[in-house]
Amino acid sequence: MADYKCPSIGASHRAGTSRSSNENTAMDLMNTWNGQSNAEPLSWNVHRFAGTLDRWRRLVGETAAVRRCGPETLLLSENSPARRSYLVEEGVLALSHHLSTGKQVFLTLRSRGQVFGHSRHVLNHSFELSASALTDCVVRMLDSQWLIDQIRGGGDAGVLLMEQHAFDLYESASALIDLIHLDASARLRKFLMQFAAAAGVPSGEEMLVKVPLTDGYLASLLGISPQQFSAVKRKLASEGKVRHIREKQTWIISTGHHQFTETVA
Amino acid sequence: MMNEIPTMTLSSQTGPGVFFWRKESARSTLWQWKQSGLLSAPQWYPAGASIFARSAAPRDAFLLERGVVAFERDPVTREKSGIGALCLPGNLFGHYPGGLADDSLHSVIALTRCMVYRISREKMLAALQKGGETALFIVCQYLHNLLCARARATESSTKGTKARLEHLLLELASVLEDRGPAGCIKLPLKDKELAGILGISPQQFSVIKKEMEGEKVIACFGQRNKLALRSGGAKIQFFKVYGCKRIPSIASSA
Repeated sequence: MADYKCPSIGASHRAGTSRSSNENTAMDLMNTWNGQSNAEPLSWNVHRFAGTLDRWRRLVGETAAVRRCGPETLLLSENSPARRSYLVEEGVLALSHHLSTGKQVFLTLRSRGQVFGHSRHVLNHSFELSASALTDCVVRMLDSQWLIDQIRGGGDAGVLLMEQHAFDLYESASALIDLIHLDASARLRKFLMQFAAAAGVPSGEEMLVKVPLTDGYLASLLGISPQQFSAVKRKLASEGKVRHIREKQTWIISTGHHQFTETVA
Repeated sequence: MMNEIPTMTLSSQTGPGVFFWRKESARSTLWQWKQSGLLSAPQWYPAGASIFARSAAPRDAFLLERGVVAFERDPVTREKSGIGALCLPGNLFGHYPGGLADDSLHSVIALTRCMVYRISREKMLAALQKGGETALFIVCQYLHNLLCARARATESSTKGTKARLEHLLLELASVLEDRGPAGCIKLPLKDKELAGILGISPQQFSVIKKEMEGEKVIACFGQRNKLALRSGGAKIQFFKVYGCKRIPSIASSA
């Protein structure tokens, strides 16, 4: 890391600077959105409002089975029972859509306090989703019909799902606009920041994010070729924004969210 | 007082087509929203009006009944549009959830004259706390809108740009009601804006348009402000209107 040149971040890292970078955690940022902290959120578009997991736990109780899994575990596929859905307790997962060509299209990340898999039963649709763990994960298995009954019964389940969906809906529109406004290097950096937030990586001038994903997989997430992906990595490294230590599956991100506004020339 | 929604029509629909816009489906959705008792009085926006600015994203949701709205960020360059996505009748927009970075926010503008309902976040939360079919309807609507957005995002990987342009024009032909000279559909989008919605550059758009002209799928004439699309044996004519100047938020009650 000695040769890694971190660009100046003073202007962009406005709040929370009196604390050491390790103290300023992702959860601080999430609390900020709920008015519980003076720290300023970075550009980490991850739905993780404080208390969401606890609220789900109170609803689910201890009866739902817990499953632990490692990276690359496929939790949900087209062959999964339609009524099965999951609550994420720990870790980060990717939701993707499988194409008939065998390729997959990345849709979004799922992390602590979020539910996935329920749309197949709730809407009875055929838009096939798959979910695979990107890190070590702890999930609680839910029956989607139980979710429907909870919503009908009133209370927190409907509120929590609506809040999650509202966030995703707004974010999905933003992601579509990003395709036009941001070049692939900015989108890669944004993805890494989102991943870091989802994984609960402490924020700081430099953030180390362990991302157990191949370059090819990341390239497919960004909709670019592996060759273009290599060029994107080189560009980000030369600009001092992101550096990849392949052997450790680690990315080093320098913060400074103003850089996300860069666009294609 | 909220009314109970009698049936959940969404749960009886299957197939990938359910995530693409259809007039009948939109009508049914709007009818169900009206039964919920959650909608405000309708608000009308003239073409070009800002429904809300990027800096003032509301926590309430909005439901579009008539017209087309666009999600927009500041244009990247003069050549490149800031419009990244459209919202069609029956769809929800707004409901800023908090927790997003400044550079992820977008403004919403009326591309045509639009009729919009505001749905109070507090009213929705109360309905969800109460439960029943209304609560399930709200959750299903958000989920359905979300899957529609994802289906749209995925389309760029499953379909070629020409097929997506054809699909977009067919959708707009179903939605747009204003007619121009000789019954042409008034198309309130410039080429660079169509390019933005398709996620390609204006240069790429120009190339595929020429290719489609060569294949006789589309024809451009009348100083290139008229566009004809041949699809499924039908010929649909568009007349491009460029009068959609941005104006501050002005809404009027019905």
